[in-house]
Amino acid sequence: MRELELELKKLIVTTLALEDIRPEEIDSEELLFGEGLGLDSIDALELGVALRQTYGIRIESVTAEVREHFATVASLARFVAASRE
Amino acid sequence: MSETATELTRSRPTAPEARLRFQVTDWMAASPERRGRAAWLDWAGAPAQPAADAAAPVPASLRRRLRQAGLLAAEALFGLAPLTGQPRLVFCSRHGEFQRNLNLLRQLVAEEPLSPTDFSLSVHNAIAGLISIASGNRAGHTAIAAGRESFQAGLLEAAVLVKAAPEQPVVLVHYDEPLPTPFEPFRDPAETPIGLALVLKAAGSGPAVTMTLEPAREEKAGTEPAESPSLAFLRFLLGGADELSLTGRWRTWRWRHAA
Repeated sequence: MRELELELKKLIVTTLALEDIRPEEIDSEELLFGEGLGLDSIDALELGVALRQTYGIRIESVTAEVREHFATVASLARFVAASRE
Repeated sequence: MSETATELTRSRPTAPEARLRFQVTDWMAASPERRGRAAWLDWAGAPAQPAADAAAPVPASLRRRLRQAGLLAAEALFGLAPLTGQPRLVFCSRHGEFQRNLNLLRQLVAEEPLSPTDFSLSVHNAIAGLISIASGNRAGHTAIAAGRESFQAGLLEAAVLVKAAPEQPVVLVHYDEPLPTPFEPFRDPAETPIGLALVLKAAGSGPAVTMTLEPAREEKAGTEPAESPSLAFLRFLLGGADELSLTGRWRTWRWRHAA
């Protein structure tokens, strides 16, 4: 899971052009949206496209469940791992 | 265009010459080659000025959303000395961030999902919106594209706004970059990556600029300029020339330094 988390941190940094942040600097439990890393709704959509292209995961609509998956890198890693099985 | 329509657009105005008057109280430009006041003063052959306060950097949250042309626009705008009160913003660009549109076109051809960031910022006024949010400006903004005369049209809009509401400063931001491959055939030789920000205020006492618009004389119409209009204007503003005239398709734009 640690490896997948780092992979996702790299994906977040490159996809969203976070030029002032290194992947290792993102805490896996840090909130990605609003507070914490400070991502916004456009970032969420962009990340959704990146997950689709990288892991073949399709997110059809934004439900409360999807919001929970996108909360932190740790929750995103659990979601990606579960979707890949 | 039909012959009648061509005649209509080319018909010569008979009204007396309109003249606008304004002051340019601050400026900043950015290009890949030149950043900062000193470099531009040197480029224009103007005497050096005492160093101004360090400009505010473009916030990282804004930088990451912009492509080259928009970033140059933001660098120019954030490089201005802080203004008291909120200026109205006029953005002008011939192509805007065309790289973004090209990226979307490529994704469509490859049948890949469109980048939500590129899609959301692909309209012409998106850069004005993004930068106005990042700079906390709520005074309203306008985004203009007018072909090869986009800078001139933007300056006209800014000058007219100053005339209409003399108490409110107006910041004009011009930004552009040459069209990317494979659009070279449509490139203008004079086009270079540029961001230019000018602060316009109502002319009071002190140096001012006058601006007039005249019908182009046939023999000068459509001549290829050596320098892009915004750079030509900056050179006129900083350098020693009394006058700058740029002839577009149907009009000659003329600026003069006035005491």
